[in-house]
Amino acid sequence: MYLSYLLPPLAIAGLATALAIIILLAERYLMDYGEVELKVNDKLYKVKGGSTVLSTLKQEKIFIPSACGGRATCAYCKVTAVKGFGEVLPTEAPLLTKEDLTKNVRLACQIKVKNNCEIRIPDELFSIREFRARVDSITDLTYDIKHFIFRLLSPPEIEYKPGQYIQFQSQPYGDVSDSVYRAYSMCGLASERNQVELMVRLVPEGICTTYMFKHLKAGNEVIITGPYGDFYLRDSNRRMVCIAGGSGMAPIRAILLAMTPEEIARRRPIFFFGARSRKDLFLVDEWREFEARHPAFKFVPALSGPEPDDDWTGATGRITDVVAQFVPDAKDCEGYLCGSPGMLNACVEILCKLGVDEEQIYYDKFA
Amino acid sequence: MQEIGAFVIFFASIFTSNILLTNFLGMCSYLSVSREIKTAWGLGIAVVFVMTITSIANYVVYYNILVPLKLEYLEYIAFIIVIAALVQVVEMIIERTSDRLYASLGIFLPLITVNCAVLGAALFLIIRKYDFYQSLAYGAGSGIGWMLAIMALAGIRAKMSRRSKVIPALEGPGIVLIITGIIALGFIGFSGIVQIN
Amino acid sequence: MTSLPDRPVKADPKLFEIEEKLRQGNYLKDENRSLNRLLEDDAALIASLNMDMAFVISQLDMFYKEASEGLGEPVLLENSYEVSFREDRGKIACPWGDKFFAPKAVVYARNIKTGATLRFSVLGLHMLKRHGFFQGQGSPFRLEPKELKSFFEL
Repeated sequence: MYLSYLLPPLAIAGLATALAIIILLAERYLMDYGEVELKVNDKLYKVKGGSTVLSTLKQEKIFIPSACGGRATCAYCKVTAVKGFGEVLPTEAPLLTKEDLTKNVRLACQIKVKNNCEIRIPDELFSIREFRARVDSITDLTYDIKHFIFRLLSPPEIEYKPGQYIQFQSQPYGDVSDSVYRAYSMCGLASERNQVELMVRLVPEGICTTYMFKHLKAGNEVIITGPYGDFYLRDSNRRMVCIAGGSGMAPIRAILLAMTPEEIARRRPIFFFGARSRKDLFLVDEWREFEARHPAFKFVPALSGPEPDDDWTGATGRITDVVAQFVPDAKDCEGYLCGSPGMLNACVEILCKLGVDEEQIYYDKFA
Repeated sequence: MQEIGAFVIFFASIFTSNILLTNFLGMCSYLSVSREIKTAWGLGIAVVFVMTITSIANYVVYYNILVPLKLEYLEYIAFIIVIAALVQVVEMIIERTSDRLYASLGIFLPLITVNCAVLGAALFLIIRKYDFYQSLAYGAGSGIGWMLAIMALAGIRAKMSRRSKVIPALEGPGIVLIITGIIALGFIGFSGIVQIN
Repeated sequence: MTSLPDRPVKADPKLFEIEEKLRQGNYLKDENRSLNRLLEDDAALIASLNMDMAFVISQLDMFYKEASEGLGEPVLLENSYEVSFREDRGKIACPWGDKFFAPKAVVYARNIKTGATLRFSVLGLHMLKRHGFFQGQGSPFRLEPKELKSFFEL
């Protein structure tokens, strides 16, 4: 009697349980890849299979640059897949160029470590560390550029070449639910190893800069990884022509501050800093002082559109014209540039025209 | 229905009794995923996969659990649970075996759980009292038939998007339903070859 | 395991993926409608406003080209518009997965006669041009059809 009432629910429950067990077993045996060997360049790592290359490497303390945090949108985390990875996935295909495809370059955030496999990454990525740091101070340089000083907590010291950059990790705030990573050049003295200094310009509606400008306070803890990049001083006897705009002053400052007086006398650096009007200029006094200490160094701030009440008597006009005016013959020069992509292109063009070998113009492509 | 061979059922379910074009099942994804041939192909393959497997599984569940317990009226609930669970398992198997297939099917597999053609095929094979091999043939055939229909429509839509001017009021689902009707008429031409039910 | 999308199964599932990416990228901010619906609604709005989108897009394209050559300096166009350009380092991949990498740049434009202003991101221009996507309500770079109409005095 009761059985006829109980049977239907019991049957369905039994069926559901049986299927749940099948799913759990499948998960247990299909999703567990066990321990596999991952070869990175020539080093062998024993890792737990099943995760993406990006997060597996992070476990092994190897930090591949990534701006989007593994959502396959930034295309920074490219690595060369030597063996053990299948065909290109539809998720990564839109971000790979023809050249990438022929060289087997893949996105580390999409390909998974499932069996013994091998990848190649640039050697310098091995020296990248993840740092916990505390915000020491935040000061305004202009209305939209701030100077950040971070004190490193662990590891306590960073070793980098002046001109290199770090990746800063933002935390979720307001409507933004993700952590993102953005690259900023270090602008401080490389010999002060216990701290990292950045100059950051507020990007309109930028996720990370808005976080840094509106939500970050002195005393907060942050996570940074680095150092990255191949923008640093090359050894030669050529004169240095440095050109920067806005927060692009950061790596140039790091490079110039780290030079010895003899080096400065030998390389005779000239530093062009382009801005729109006086309110976009900053640290002018610091550079004038630097100029006074090193007679071979010259600082040329140039305004492209000075306001009438700026009382501007210095160089005026587009930065490219000012460079051409001050360095008419640049055959024996080397270029160090940092700024917006449009400015970089224009400066490379004018320097080449003035006689600089394109091979000797250095700038950060920010991956 | 015992006298019809499995191969005949397989063939008939693709052409003459196409589950989409004669029963109009699985219409929602058919209408929305037929804009591009590539995505239509992805969904089609996934349907073939899932329909074949769930047909067999539902056959086994029905004749080995529900019939002995005299609970045939629970078939709807039972079939839905079986389909949902199997889709999950199939998804895991694909993830394990082929990253590429997984990434391209990824979003389609959960959608198939709620594709009425999959449930419809399971119910038809019970109503028509197919045996095991006939059920297998019917499941696979219906899946392939569904894929054929969506691929045909996607091909037509891809061509139309470049060349045809459609009356604004008929754009989208309107013209697609008309096209589907014409394709269905075209498929009647096959009916002289074989016929089931 | 992917979970079942919590929306009706009536749109192209590829759009779900794109919608997911657009939401993460804050291109749909306060938008309650699905991406499919938003695209249809905006297309209908354009039709009802009787706007020549090809003209609007060609104007925006021209603004972008002229402004980017100004390197941040305001550029005067035919004495009727003033455009300027703001560019930061970095690239943004188009969330629609079409291999387009937009510079992180914003174009500001002012209609000298009416004083109306307009700003758009380079990625926003691309998404409008290629995908008919104006971005969602409340999204920082939404190109509101009505504002475009009044800006160009159509």
